[in-house]
Amino acid sequence: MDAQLKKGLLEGLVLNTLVAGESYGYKIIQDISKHIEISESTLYPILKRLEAVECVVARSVEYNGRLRKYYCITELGKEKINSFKQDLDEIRGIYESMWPQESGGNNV
Amino acid sequence: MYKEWTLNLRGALKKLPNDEVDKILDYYNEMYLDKTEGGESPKSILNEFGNPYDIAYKLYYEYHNCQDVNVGSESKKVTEPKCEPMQEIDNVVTQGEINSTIPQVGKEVEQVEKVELQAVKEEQAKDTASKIDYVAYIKTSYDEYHKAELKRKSSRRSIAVKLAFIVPYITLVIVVWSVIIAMWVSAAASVLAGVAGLFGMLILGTSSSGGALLVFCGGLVALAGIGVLLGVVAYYMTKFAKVHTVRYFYKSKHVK
Repeated sequence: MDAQLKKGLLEGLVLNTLVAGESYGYKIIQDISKHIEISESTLYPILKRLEAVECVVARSVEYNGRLRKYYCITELGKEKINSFKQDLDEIRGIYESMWPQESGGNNV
Repeated sequence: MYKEWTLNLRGALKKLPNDEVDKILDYYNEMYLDKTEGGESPKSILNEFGNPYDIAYKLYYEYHNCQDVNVGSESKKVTEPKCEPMQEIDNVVTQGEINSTIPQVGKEVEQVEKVELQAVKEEQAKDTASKIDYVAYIKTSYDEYHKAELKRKSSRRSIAVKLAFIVPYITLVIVVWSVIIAMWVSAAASVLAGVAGLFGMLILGTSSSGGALLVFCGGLVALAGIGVLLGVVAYYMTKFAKVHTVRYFYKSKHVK
């Protein structure tokens, strides 16, 4: 998959995993890995970016005598998910109009 | 193992601000501990993390892109044209006045734009230079890391190769020397048995018949002869084995 496309997709997926509740790095990777391959070095900049644009907020919680960083989605993040879904719908629309046979075949 | 990996990562990230490096290391540390608690072995975790220099390379670019985005948005905010409310025109300006003032204003704007463009270009050049510098640094570190890895692997390989040669050789030496010793012992035993038997026959066996005595004596002489033959063979084998054994151990001592 194209790197830029994947990056955008991963942002949406990370936000989506946080909708169910706050989560931490390792768990996020585990959740996303079910759908798409993601490495630790890919997740870090995504979380950092989402934190910078205030789509997520992070807090450190003590766990087993150490600190673990939990990420929680904000209202802005939820809005971003909606716009992400709209983007995907748009892409799907373009795909279906460009390759109607293939998209029709997939639906069947 | 993890400590070494972390040190390599810290070294590779040294061009990033310290607080950012600390955040990255905290992130990897947390991930490492979570994975360990999840039952993964340190080796497989580090394999999943990948090469610290690859990570540094990736994070460095992500960091700079992030900074670029921020800088871009700030500069956009600064340069964004503001819509001023329209003012009422008090005086009517003649066409001649307009014609005389427009070129001057145009020149000033042009100059300001030139200065701004120059500043942007300088900033970009600085940024590009720093990126190129960092890429060169990462590349060198990466090469050094790979060289060290290769060296470690080759030294491991050479130990394995040495062992593959040494073990059979020592086994062979032990076997050959055991055979030689056995030959010496049997040669000595045969000669002794033959000579002692012969003397015994001559001294004590006078009561036996002449034919039987001759047969016994012949047998004992043959036994002593076999012993001598074995002794000769053992002698040459000893000589040969001694030369090769001494040569090998002498060499291996001086090769170090």
